[in-house]
Amino acid sequence: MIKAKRAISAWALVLAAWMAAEVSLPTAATQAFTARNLIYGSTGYDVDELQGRLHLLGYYWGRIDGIFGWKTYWAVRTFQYNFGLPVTGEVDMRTKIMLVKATPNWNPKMDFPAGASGSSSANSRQTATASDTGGTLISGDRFTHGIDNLSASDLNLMAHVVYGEARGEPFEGQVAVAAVILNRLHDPRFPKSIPAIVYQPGAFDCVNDGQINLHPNREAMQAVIDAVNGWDPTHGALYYFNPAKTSNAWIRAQPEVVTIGHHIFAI
Amino acid sequence: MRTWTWWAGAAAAVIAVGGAAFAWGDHERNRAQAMAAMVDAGYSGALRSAVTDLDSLRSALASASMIADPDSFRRHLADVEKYAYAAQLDMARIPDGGPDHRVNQELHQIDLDAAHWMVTDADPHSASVQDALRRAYQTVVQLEEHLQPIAWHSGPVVDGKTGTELAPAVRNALARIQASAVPRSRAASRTTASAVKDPTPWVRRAEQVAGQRIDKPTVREVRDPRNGSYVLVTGSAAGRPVRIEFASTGALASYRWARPTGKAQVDLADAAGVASRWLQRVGLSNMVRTHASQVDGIARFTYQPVVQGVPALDASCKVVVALDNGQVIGFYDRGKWPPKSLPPALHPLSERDLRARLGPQFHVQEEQHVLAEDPNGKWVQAVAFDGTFGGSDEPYRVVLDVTTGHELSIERLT
Repeated sequence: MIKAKRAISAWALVLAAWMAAEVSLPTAATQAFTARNLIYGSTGYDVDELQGRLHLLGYYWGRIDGIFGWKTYWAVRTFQYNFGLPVTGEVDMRTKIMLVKATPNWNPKMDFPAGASGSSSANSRQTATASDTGGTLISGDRFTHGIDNLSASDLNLMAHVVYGEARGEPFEGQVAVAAVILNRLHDPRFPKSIPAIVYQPGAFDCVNDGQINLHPNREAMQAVIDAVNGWDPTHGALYYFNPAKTSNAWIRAQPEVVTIGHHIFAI
Repeated sequence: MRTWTWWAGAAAAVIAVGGAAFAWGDHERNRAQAMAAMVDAGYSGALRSAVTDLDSLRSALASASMIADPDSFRRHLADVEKYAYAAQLDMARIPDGGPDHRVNQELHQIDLDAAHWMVTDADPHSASVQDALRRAYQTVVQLEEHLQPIAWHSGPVVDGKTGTELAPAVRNALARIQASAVPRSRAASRTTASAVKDPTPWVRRAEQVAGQRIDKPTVREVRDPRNGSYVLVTGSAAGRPVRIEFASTGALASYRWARPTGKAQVDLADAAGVASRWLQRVGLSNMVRTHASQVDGIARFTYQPVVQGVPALDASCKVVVALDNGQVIGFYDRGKWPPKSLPPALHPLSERDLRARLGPQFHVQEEQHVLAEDPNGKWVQAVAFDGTFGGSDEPYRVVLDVTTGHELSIERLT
């Protein structure tokens, strides 16, 4: 009886292994591509391989950096169109299988664009590794890419203001400070750029006392990202003040919108 | 003899230390004076530049009003735009400590009008254009005449005061200018908040959004004179603060659960699926995902509403997903939604005509029928061309009005 059970188990294992081999990618693919789907915004070695294979086919002409950006997206769409796949710009298993079949000679050492050196490829792989922990937008304590119409420099300056003005406040309060800067950007009464708003005489205390030069932490940077992405807990506030620290009668007279942490936000 | 030597030595030391202290103090005083003079020069420069730019703006407005030749008219409008912009920058450098005057708003409107007339090839004979030019001219004359005495009064502008000390005086002066030159705006009313009579449905709805129990919930109705009323639910979920806002119609406006995120375990594509399903669960079904990013184990997805199969570019909402366990921890809606049906486009330009309006250095990769807002905030049908700019190979998007062919926006894709 036990022997029969063992035989059935062994056959079941063999059958499962055979089925797995049937539905999985060809050997070359299993060495690299994982089962995860890739979409715009994905990062890591899978994207590295995707870019390398698309580059080999002549669809991708950008840097092989492991970041699924616009050029990768367009290359995927063109590949899908030319190979009769649904044109989605997203890399599912079907697209991966077709891509692997179309590039049997690809190997990871090819992963650098024409004219680039092997060492630059190594650098881009490091970038890709960093991307897994958030390197696409932030590297170290700096924004490296802009969001919407704001440059990386604008985002860094905002993070400095948020940290200088609102560290120690709840996260929502930090987002609110960033939102005030953005609300000023959209108000015709204020200057038309982030630096001009931040450095407007007397606009922010942290500029006057030098705290703007402190290095922001990740929380301040996340607050900036959330504000730029559209979160405005102040509902359009243009000013804020700490009632315990200000004696300015004018700012206290402004209509209040909301209180978050120690700050009163006003219009 | 020895006592005398000691006294002489002590006196010499006192003189030496006192002299050094005096020299140091004098140096510091001079430095502070130089700094103050520099700041003073900066503020004086801003005021005086504003006067000069307003004067140039006045001339450009007069020239645009007096000439009907289309080419000259456009050239003068370009000057109007340029000087109005420069004057706004000058005003922003004046230490008024936060403007409650609307001088920059007036200059911004003049700038905007000039740009609009240039884009739409406005007729110089048009009565509405001439009327707007006349009003703009009168405003600028008033501004210049009132600012001039402040900028050129005898003595330094700052006069030993700090920017903060000077702010009320400058602000009052600008308020006086506004009173005479710019129409008065209605004072904004204060926002008020009060407890909701029956909080239970709101708490239930908030828990549906958060997907978990909210402890110690507080529900308030906030009356915002500018944005209307909204309901704010705050509390905590699993010991972390949660904040959810609903529009008075009941629609979800924003949600954020502020919790720390661990190491990313969930794939971005899977998180995108989570975000889409979550949107459907909260009642936003006809949406298309257009953008995604991930930072520090947090993924953010952009969704745009779809109207009869056409995505609305200028309306979007964001869904935030924690990649440690695939939980939705945030949602923000910009509060701008497109019409329920497509706005009419009676005589749309052909694809060829639209492509002919793109520059030779722009290489189109993809084009898409979209809805977008025109400069007046009106929804129009448009075509978005995504591609690369030849010079740098960077991705850009150009959006053209499908009826007029006018450029609606050019955006660097990030």
